[in-house]
Amino acid sequence: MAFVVEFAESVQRLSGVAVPALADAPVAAEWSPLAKAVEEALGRGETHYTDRPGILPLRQKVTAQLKARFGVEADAKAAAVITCGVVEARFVALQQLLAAGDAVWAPVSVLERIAGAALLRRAALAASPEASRLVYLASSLGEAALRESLAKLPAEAIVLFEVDEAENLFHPATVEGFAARTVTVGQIGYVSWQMGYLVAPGKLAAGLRDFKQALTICSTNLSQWAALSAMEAQ
Amino acid sequence: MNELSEIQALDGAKLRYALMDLSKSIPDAIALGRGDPDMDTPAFIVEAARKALGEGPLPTAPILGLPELREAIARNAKRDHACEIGPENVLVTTGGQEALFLVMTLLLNPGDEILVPDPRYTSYDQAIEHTGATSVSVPTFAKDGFDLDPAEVEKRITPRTKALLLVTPSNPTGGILTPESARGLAELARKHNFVIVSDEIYGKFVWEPFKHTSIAGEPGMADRVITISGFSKAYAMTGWRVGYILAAAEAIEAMGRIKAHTTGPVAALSQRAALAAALSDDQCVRDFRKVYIERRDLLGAGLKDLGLTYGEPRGGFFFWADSSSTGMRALELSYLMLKHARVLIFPGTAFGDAWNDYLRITTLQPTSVLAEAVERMRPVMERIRAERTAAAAR
Repeated sequence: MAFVVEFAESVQRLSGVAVPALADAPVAAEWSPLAKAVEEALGRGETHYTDRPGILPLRQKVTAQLKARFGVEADAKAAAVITCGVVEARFVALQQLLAAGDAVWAPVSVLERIAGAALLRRAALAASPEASRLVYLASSLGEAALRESLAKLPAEAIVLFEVDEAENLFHPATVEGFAARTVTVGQIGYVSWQMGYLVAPGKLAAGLRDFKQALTICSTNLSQWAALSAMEAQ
Repeated sequence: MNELSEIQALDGAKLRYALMDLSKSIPDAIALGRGDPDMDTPAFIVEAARKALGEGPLPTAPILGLPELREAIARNAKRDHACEIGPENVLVTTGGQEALFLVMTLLLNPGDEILVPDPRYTSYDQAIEHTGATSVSVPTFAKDGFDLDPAEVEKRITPRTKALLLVTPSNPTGGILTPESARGLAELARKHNFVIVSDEIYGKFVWEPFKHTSIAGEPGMADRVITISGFSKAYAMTGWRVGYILAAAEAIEAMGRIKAHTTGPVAALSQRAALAAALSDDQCVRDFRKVYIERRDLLGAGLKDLGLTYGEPRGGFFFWADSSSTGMRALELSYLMLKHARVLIFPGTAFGDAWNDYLRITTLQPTSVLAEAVERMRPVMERIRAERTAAAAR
């Protein structure tokens, strides 16, 4: 027996969209100190909601890492949000920064990471970056390809930049004119922790934080302590 | 713009969070705002998590949830939600909040209408707005204990009505779905072909003589009801972020496809902890209930003593108190209570524009803290009433 009403149109179309692959971010530490950090958090009763943007020490680690790796400055309190994995970070950014009908572009090699979220926003996938409201780029594309894409963007286009597994040290926010319109997302540690982050410039940050709160309130408390331990070990 | 004016410009979740942020700047403020159980997660659940930690990094769970957790939730569904289902009818979500987002995304197109109770927790509105659909408020009334009246629902059904949202027990009012209303609403849903979304996150906390009623138990509703619930409230597990959706398998599969793009699989450790809760005999819930009843009685007596009136909550963690006797709008009253009594409560306007004369006050603090909160509020309330009397005499 079929369900009694038709599913939303965007959901019907979603069945033709690939599910984004999930990949762990590198975890430098052994398991036992990470497990110990979670045990200690349990001992402290860290089983309640955290602040909706996440625990501050973890947000500070995220922004410190962005500065150390890319030279990108961000205020941990105002700009950083801990998310339920990079999947949520991408989703929140696309839902909040795009309006229905806006054009979004990503290179074909990474398009599947955002195609479903864009569809659920009822955004249009563009064939090229030139007329896009938002473009999705990832560090694994390499500096040359990233610079080439940035050069084609309209003046107001937003860059959603994912720090993925590559060791590339180039970040779009370091290019003149892009700092105030580049949102950075990434995965922290194992996918099974469901832990990621989103760092946005001032004018965009509050809306992203609000949308994340509306979607999941806050990210998993214990996973945040595991993630903090892992980042401290790096 | 002063602090109060800034807050007055807000509504819904933004208003609640602004007040919570403000309370952080007030030393020893007593939080009677957020619906976060203050008690720790029961020890046997924590122990299950510790055991899982000993296994090393856990594998990523399937997008629909750990199979054994889905099975356990399905087994409990008859007890908790009046429906006999299998694991194929269960989706594990990142808390109840994601669940409602997934359900609204599944059902609603731009231009659709969904009937929603008024007042309500406003996160529903955000999820609905995102789909481009329209919320159509159905008023609930103190005279009915804020239960949803099928006659009020029927008045608002149009050809665009795609769904009805039930919240039982209600946040913020404590109203519940009665068996009579369930029959009436089920009949309306069948007649007008709409879906009923039933949020039962507080379902284990319905107070005697009332009993929790799940509309999924009505005949012919299996493919017409989507039930939302979770572990946060029942097992004091808010920080673990585990909720679930019960629905027809076809709907579960579709929501799983959405979830792959929203947050991915729920944290594996959290699911293992939730599994321990789902496999338990629920003695911990019965223990929690005793505590909450004691708190409810103490706080209720205190609020009456302060001159606030309310309908006896039939379920949930909240008092929905009528503050009209103070002559002060609820937001201003909440602000004064925070600044001068150091007690955080939420104004009714955080749950709907029309609720200027109501306050939502939680029972989620130990009895000694609740008693202290009442004593702190007393002189502020007395001053407000004295000023009102003096103003009337002039």
